[in-house]
Amino acid sequence: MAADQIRYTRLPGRLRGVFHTASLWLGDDHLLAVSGWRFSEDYKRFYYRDIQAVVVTRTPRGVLPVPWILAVVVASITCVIGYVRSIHWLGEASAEVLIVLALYLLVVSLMQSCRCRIQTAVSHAELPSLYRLWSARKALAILERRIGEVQGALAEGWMAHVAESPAGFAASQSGEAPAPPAPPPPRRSATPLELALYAGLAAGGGALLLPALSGFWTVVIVVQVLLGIAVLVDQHRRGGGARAARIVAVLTMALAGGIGYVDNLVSALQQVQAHPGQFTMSVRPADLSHLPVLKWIYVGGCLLLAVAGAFSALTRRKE
Amino acid sequence: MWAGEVFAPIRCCRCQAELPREAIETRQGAICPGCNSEVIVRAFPAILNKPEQISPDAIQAGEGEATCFFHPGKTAAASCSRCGRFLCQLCRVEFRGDDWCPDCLSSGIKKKKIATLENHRNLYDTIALGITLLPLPFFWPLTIIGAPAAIYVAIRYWKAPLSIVRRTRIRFVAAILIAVTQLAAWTWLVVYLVALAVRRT
Repeated sequence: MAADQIRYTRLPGRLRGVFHTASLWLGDDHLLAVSGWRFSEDYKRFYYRDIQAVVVTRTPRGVLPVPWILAVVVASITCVIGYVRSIHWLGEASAEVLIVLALYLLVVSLMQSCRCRIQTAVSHAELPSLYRLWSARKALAILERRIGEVQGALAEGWMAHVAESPAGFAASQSGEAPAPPAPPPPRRSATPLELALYAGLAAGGGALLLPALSGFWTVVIVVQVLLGIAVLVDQHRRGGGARAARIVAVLTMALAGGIGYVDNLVSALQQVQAHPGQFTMSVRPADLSHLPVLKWIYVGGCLLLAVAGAFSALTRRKE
Repeated sequence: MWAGEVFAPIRCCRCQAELPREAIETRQGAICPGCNSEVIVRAFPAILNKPEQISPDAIQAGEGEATCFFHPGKTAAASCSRCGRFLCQLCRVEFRGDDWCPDCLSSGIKKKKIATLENHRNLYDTIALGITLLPLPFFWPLTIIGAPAAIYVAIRYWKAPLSIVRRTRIRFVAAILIAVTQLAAWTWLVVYLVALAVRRT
């Protein structure tokens, strides 16, 4: 295909969120804005000859890129290992790294973040990949040079000249009030899958509280993980969907999967201690009764997520 | 004076307030009057372009004149470079330096023959890799379904177009390798458990 022959060069700035990714690429005659939902990509093309303006506004932003999340997870794990295994220097160093990471992210989010927008005669589009000032400045310099090669540059004092002989685009619109921004798209109501996930969470939390049902815990976490996956796939198929539902789905998978892993690990360690030198495997219906802290974390997490999900679903329905 | 009086207004990204001419003209950062945020604006000559306006009377076909395929009453101004149909000023679409008719353009987009107009692609390589890797942090027994599914997706969509900006198939290769490793591990586990059961009986 012809487009496959186009060579693109990436501009500075790249958003790598948990779900959303975005980047900007320079083509021969156009700027390509790529925004992705991990498993698909959407493209917008802005031809250099059509770009009227690029605006960068300094503003606080709470973007959490995946590399930072990974760094925090690694630092947290080493911190826990350091304190559990009494390797104090490791625990302290990791805790310091965590604090530095958090402070850096806070300062940068508040002081060095921005929003960037590109304007053509018929559209305005946000450029989500440019969310830090330094990368926005670099990208703007490169983009300005490339657009300048196609359009040339505005003369010194062009604004005064235009004001004197208004032959510009909106000369005929003088005095008209600017059009109000478009209203946000209507939000969708909760899907049956989302509701099933919230119900599964509530049932999971309740199952562990009732001794008669605690034997089904393994089944419950498998169902919860499957419901989480189903919600994510469904949301992706719908093209975005509700952000709250996606967050609840991911947290559910992390909670159920994480607790399941810890439970398996602890029981394996207990078996090794009980039968040293002998490797045994068993798939048993757990009930977390031997790990009360973990049990309450799981129950609390499930109920919190169920309440948060139900709240977001009800709020959306009211709208 | 406000910029919107002489050309399309340029607005602050944060508060949507219209920016004054000083903010647009300066090369340095300016302050948005709406939210007091620092704003950097780069305006380009296209901002002064007047959009082409076509008056219906001007393109009315006269006696004996060639007419548009889609509008028989209008003068033909060009012919489609793909199908050769005559086109009036309204139907003529300039694309890649040629004139196209709306039919050829829309069928080209639908059949994905004009890749420069493609605005969405599924990333099957990332899907295959995701199917193999996602069960690991969440619930590893799902790899027994995920591994064969990943191999299927990788083989089925091996030749499907990848991302427009990234063209290597390394993710497909990684997905297949990881999936094969997972299947090998499952096979070993099953064989081990069967052998254990046989030894006990």
